[in-house]
Amino acid sequence: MKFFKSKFFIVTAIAATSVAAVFTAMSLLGYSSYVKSAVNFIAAPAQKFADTVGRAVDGYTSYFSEVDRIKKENEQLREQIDSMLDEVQSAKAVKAENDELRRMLEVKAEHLDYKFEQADVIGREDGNYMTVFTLGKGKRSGIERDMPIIAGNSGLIGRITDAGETWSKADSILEMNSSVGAYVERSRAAGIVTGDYELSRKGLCRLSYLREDADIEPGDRVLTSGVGSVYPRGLIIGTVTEVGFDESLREKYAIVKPYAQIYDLSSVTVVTSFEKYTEE
Amino acid sequence: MKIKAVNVIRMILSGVYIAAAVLLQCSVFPHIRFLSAIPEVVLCAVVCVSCFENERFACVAAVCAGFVLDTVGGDPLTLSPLLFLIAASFSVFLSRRVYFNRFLPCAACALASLFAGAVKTAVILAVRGAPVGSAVAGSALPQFLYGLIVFIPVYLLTALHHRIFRDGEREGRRASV
Repeated sequence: MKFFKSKFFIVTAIAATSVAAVFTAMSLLGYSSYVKSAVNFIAAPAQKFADTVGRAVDGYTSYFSEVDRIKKENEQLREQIDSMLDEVQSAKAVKAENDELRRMLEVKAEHLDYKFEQADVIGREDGNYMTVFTLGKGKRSGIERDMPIIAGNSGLIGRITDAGETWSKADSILEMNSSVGAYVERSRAAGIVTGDYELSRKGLCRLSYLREDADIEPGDRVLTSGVGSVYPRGLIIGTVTEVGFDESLREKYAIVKPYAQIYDLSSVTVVTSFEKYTEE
Repeated sequence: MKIKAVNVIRMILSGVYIAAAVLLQCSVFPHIRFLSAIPEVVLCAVVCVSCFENERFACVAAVCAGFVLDTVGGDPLTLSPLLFLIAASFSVFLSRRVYFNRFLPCAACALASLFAGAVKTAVILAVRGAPVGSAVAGSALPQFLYGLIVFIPVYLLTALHHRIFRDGEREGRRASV
């Protein structure tokens, strides 16, 4: 081609070679050139603008280009969250146990004659007509039949109905066959807390055999009277939610909401020894 | 030699186009890397412009673009003016040989130039002490591939730019007749 033999092309080629050689040599020798400075000075504002555009574009493209990194980071964060949740969960369990033990200490301080045995609820036979708790301790731990069991907040739960070497079964006060001697803390009105099929489904029980003129109101606390020698005196059974009058029996009755969270138990305290109440 | 105003405008716009390519390569594409490589946008632009413009303009534009790119990009080696001149000459040569199609010579030239650019990158990295395998696989090859991807839109833009001016020129001729 003619052009490549033309003076113009030869001059341009020589110029390009010279520029490459001179500026490369200057750069390698550490000299800066005014020409490069001028070019950079002129280009700087445009470059700044282009860089801003690049950053803006980068913001959008990073969604795609960083997917792998973000995925990995996400997985790591998930693992961290899982382990932290585990820690939180175990901390909660420890706190709950701590609270329970603290309350037990208070109960112990209140009732110096009591001896306790802590037991975990390892089973719950939730049948259609009764609820039986299986506890993880039995005779080896000093647990016997008819010992009362209480919750961490010293609310009465029920009593041991059967005990093996390493296990025991317990009924709650909501069961129909349960009857606990009780009295109203405020007025000392006495009665018997019994289980009722309809009420037990709502987590409630019934205070019966109250005298016609018994002084009882919703909100009153109901405690164990100690009569019958199964339960010690002074354990909290629950709070009166409703008061009624049975026309046929000519007596008052009350609906009691148990103080213990009977359907939400993970561990209980068995009162293995206490001073029997005697009426003076 | 009489130069028409429309050709002057076209050349100026081609210059602006190459300058924009320099800015893209130096400031925008570093944010949009492909496998940590930046495409040779300016090389593609120079090759494409050379296919459509006259020889003299192509050569001058290539040398200027190479110089500005190395200066703005901060490359200590100012080899681009020479490499771009070779690429532009090759592009001019091929486009004048193949009459029936513009794309094929342009693509062939771009392929060769991008390959040469990738080889240059690999050699520089190897000279600086990088393992050759890593230099090729980690930098040269992605740069080559990214360059090929970028070449298509660059070519289309250049062709569009050329077509607009060619149509304008034809209409001007008709009006004068």
